[in-house]
Parts: sequence; structure tokens; C-alpha cells
Amino acid sequence: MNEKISSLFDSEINNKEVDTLLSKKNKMAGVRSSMSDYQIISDVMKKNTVLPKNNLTDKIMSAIDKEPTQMGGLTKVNSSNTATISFDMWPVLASLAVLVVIASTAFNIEVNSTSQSQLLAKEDIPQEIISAHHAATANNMNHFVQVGDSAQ
Amino acid sequence: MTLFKKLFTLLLLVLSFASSAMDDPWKILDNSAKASHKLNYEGIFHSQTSSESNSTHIIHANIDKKEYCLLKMLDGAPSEVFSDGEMVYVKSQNRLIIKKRKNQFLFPSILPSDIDNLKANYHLLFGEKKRIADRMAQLIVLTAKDDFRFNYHIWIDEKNFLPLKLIVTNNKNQTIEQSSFTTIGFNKVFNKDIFQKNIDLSKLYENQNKNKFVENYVSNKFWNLKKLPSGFKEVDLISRRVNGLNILDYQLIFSDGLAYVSLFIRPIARGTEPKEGVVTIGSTNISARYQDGYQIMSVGMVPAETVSTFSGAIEF
Repeated sequence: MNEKISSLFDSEINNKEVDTLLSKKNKMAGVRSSMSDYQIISDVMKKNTVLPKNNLTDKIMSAIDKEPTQMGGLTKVNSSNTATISFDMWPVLASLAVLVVIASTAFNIEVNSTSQSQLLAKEDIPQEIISAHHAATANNMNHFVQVGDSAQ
Repeated sequence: MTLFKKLFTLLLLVLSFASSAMDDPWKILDNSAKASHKLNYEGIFHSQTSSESNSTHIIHANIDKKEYCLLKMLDGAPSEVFSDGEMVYVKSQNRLIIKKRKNQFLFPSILPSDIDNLKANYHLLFGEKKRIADRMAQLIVLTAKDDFRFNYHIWIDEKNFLPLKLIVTNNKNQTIEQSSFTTIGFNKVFNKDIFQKNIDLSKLYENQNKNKFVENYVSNKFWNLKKLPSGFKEVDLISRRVNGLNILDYQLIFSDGLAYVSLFIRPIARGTEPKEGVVTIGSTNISARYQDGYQIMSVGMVPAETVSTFSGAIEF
């Protein structure tokens, strides 16, 4: 269903499917919600409107949180967890790419090179940086174990 | 040329090669690097830094040309580290953490497989022989040729070349870190099972989604590096998700074969003040610099000048 909604806003859907989609929109709350989101994405891509950030950002954050984090080299190939992508998914993937762009915007990563820097103090150094360094380089096992402890 | 002359010439050539091999003092480090991977041994070593000390029980074996190592901490909270040569598993307080390391250099495996880079950046000196863990050991001192690295004192087993003791000193000859065997035995036969009996590898798939230190190796680089300290080469590049934020930071790891420096490139979130300067925590120096929205930090058990050079080397 999401694929068809995405196609609607990309003008890649025939008239008969438009009628079916609009009919379902009136009956199903989930479809109405999805159409609203895809409308916003379409408008952002065409720069037609200002993004209502809070609502959609929350949804994006929630969706990202639900995404499994995978570790390279450990995921079994052909396991039940392995996703396969067909060419029919391209409209959905395109929409997902827009979501990622919007999500990165929502985090407001600062790129202002004129920011005033403060003098570095010991308290400013994130523990995960020290741990990550020791985990990758230390020849002292104690450092290595502490990395595991800080991951709790 | 008579047969006698040919044989005599051949003999001279063989003796010449043998002589040059024995005369090369660096050969002992090459043998030592190989010994730490190939030998079967079990023992206890003591490690000390400026802030803490601990004892570790180690079992190391090479079974069917594959390296296995099990380290058990004897002080503090019970912890174990198991390595099968490719991955490292840390078991601490009933939790299992997976780590990837491209090189296994937990003591006593401290020497690189290729020692040529060490020749360019360290002087090698032979010191006195000394008894370590009831075995005779030859002291090898690697002194830095410049101010970008510390000095390494390594006591190598006289018979089988395994490093038995390591002391790292700074340019004022102050001890930064040391590790030394107190007991060690060789040539035991180990079974693979003893390395895995306490670690249930089937639980890895359950844990990986909860692991905040999940790492992915990346190839896209949006930065350039200006001149780095002599001999340091990039040996690894890791990206990981910043805790609480769905953004990535990057960790570049550089080494000259003995010293290691991590260079972190982290995007700064709005409201966070960028930092600049150098601080020392224990035996580790940290240098911070800000550029174009990124907090750059270099970390290493190297002189402050070295970490400052690394953090200043990056440009976008």
C-alpha cells in the first residue's frame, strides 16, 4: 500500500489505481496517515511547503529506533533476518532516502565554522573515546575489559 | 673451474648468508613476533600503568595453524577475554561483548609481523640478560629516533624468543606502562574446548542489537591528512553510531608498529561547545581541535606533541 501511495505522489500510478487508493483513504485511518506523510515528503522535495517538523521527526526517530543494528561479518547470509530487495521497492526506497535527509536535518548538525572553541579540560573528554582507543590498540587486557563494562 | 673450487665458492656463499643473518640484530624481534603467535604457553603476568595494576592468567595455543587465546583477570570483577585470532570476545559480569581487532597485540603479542618500519624509527640496543619468571631473558631496548614516540624495553626468552617483560618509558626515562610474566610454562597440549567452554557463542546474535559499540568498517573518506609524524601509517578505520544520536563518528587508527594513535572525527550537535587544547589522563595524551562542524580528537600513549600533530593534520 505504501508503495502505491508513494507512486501516487511521484505521478507513477494509473487512473484506476488512483480511484482505488482514494476510496481506501476515506475508509482506512492508516492509509490517511500514510498519505499525509507522503504528501509532506513530496512537498519537501518540490520545495512547496515548510516541514511540520515535530510530528514527522518523531515518527522518523521511532522508525529508526526500531531498525535492527547489524554488525558486519556476523549476520548469517540467507537467514530469516536477511532482507531481500526487489526492483518494486525502488519508490519506497526513494522515499526512505528522503526520510534520512529529513532526519539528518532534524538533528541540526552544526556546520558553523565560526563557533567559539573552549579550552579542553579532562571532564570534556567522552569516556567512550578513551574506551574506543584502548579497545582497538591497548596491549593491556584491563583496558580491554573496561570497554565491555562501559558498554553496559 | 674445478669441482673443488665450485664447492669452495658455494661454501663461502652459504657462510656469508649465515653470517649476515646472525649479525642482523633485528632478527631477534622478528623471531619474537613469530614466537608469540606460534607457541603454546600458559602463565600469569602482571600489568601496571600509572593508575592501576592487575594480574592476568593466560592460555595461548596454536591449534591446526589457528591461534587461540584465553585471558582471565585475577583481580577485581571476574572477566575473561577470548580470541580465536579473528574476533575478540569480552565476558564480564555475565555480559558478552564482541570486539573486532585487525591486529591482536595484547601482551605478550606486542611486536608487529613486519619489523622494517621499526628500523626506520627506533634504535635497537642489546641490554643485559636477566631472569624473568624463572627463565633467562635478553633485554632489547628500542629507543625512539625522534620526539614522536616513547621507548620500549623488551625482555625476550633466550630459548624460544617469547617476550616475557615489557616496559614503556618516556623521554625522561619515566615508566609509562609495564607488563611482566611471573610464572610461565611451555609446550603444553591444549584442546580447543578449553577456550570456549565459558563463552556461549550462540548468544552473540541476541546481544548484537543491544550492543552500543557496534562497529562498521567504512571506506568513504571526506577528509585529507596533511603531514603525519614519521613512520605512522593508517592501520584501521572504524565508524560507529554516537550514543543517543543517530549519527556516525569516525576513528582512524595509526601505528608505527609499537605506538598507536586514534584520530576521532565527530560531528558536533547544536548546543555543544567545541573544545581545543591538550590534556593528559594517566599515561594517555589527548589533543582536541575544532574544524568545520567537527570535533577532532587524537588519543594515544604517545608524547603530547604527537597527538597535537595528528589532530592538526586533518582538513576537509
